[in-house]
Amino acid sequence: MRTLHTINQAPSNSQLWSSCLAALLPEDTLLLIENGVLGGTQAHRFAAVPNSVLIYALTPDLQTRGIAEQLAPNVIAVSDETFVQLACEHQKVVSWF
Amino acid sequence: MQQKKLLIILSRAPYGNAHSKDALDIALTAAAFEQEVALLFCEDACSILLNSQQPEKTGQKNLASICSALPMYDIETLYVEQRALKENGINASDLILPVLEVDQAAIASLIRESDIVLRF
Repeated sequence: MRTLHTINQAPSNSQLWSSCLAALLPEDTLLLIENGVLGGTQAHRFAAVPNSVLIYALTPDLQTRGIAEQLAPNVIAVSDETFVQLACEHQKVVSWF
Repeated sequence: MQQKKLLIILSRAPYGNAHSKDALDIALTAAAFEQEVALLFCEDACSILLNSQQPEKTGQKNLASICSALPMYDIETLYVEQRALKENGINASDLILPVLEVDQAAIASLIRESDIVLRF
């Protein structure tokens, strides 16, 4: 069953980030929210993530922190509406906080 | 009521906050409603199962005694993250209940196979 993973903590919370990234399976989706978007500028963080995992970051949270332009090429900025759509499209959501 | 597979992941250390107690309360409640509940203890949460804890020394409720009630609620599946045991120097024999040790890949499969995943 495809899972939407959301993470709301900065990458300095390295234990949380490593547990979250290790839990990603092919076809899952990762959405960076709140302070989690800070990881969205660091492409190397996602090197070990399966290719079929799409990585998103929430635009309002990026804009809040002034990093919307620094987003890594493997991370896609999305709106709140897309967040809702993603939650609907996946069988379940796992919240990493 | 439709039976769902519920996976509750505990990741925080006990006694510093209410997360562990909340997670166990949810587990027991869901099991009372005949849901299929599995618990996974990872990161700092594996010490919740330690035999040697004495929370009454700081006036707190013993979480291990709540855990010992899990089998009565038909919660028989307790997973513990292998890495967490190792990092905290805990042997499975120090724990109050028998557990299954799992690695990162097994945890990813557990999440995928569950209908609902709650992480604390």
